[in-house]
Amino acid sequence: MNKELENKFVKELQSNQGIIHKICRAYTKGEAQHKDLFQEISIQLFKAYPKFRGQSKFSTWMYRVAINTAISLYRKSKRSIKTSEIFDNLKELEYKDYDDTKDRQVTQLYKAINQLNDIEKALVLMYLDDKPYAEISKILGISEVNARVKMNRAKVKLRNILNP
Amino acid sequence: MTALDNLKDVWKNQKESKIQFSETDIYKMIHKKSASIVKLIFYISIIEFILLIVVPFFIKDTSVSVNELHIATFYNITNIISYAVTILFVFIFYKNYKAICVQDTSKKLMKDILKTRKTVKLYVAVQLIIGAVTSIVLLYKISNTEEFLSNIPQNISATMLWVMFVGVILFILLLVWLFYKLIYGILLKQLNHNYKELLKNDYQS
Repeated sequence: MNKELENKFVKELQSNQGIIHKICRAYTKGEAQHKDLFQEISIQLFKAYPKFRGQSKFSTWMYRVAINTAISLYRKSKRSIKTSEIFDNLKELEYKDYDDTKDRQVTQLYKAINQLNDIEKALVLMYLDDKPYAEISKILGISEVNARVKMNRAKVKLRNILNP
Repeated sequence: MTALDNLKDVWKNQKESKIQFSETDIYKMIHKKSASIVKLIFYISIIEFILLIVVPFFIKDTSVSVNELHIATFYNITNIISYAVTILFVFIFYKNYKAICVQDTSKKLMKDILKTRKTVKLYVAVQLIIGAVTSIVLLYKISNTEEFLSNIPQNISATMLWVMFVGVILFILLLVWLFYKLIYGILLKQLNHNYKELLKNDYQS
């Protein structure tokens, strides 16, 4: 890839990194794993970038590659789980310090999402980000009917986790 | 689902992640090596191909020569088959590997990864079967030579010995199979699980 294209990619990724952070936080436990997955997603995006023709928005394309990396390519190593447990504890302390209702709600939501399986996570993330069913079924490669059935189940599961 | 709809607001108004990367960070990141499952499967497969090609060269040397046993034709044919199979599989494997694209739908991506794995698994199975058949024929021939027959203890018949050989070969095959089950079981457990989960209820697949 030429330098110009590479710079363009880095700039776009840097300004759209929020989307990836959300996915990383949903799919990993703790900072070490979060950074690990972020790196893998970045590498996959970079490798695929020359094929990105701009038919869709950069952020939409990024979403698809990020979800695919999280559910198909990423390996959670045992070593990083151990480090992440330490980070997890640290994080909880940090959040207690904030005592901000909104922050707490977000933390709770992530904790609930973390308990879903990988496919349910993808569905719930896309639901929260208001992706239409047509797009969800296109990203996952399943029928729209199946996407709806799965989504309803994931939503029920999420609701039960949030309000036991 | 209104309670969940309210969560959308919480979700959309969440603060930016505490972890933020600069352009320099990202630049460094994208030049690191990928540690994805696909890369790992690719490397392991290459090692498998190399091992199965190289190992026979070291264990070929037997005390009884092929000519003495009158199986030169059989030996040459199995050799040719074995190499032809390897070339064919390396080609199919590489084609499958190249077809893996992170921009595909999740379903297709998972399917392609599993297909790549299956190719290598099939290759190893075929090579092991060829190896087993060759060994059994070779051992049968050896067990019928006079030199061999005069060297075995009287209370063991040649047939019994031959049955024991086959037993040992089958046992080795079983061990190899278990070994593979273990490596790829661990490696692909999550992916297999996700694939099944994704396809559940999908009647259009």
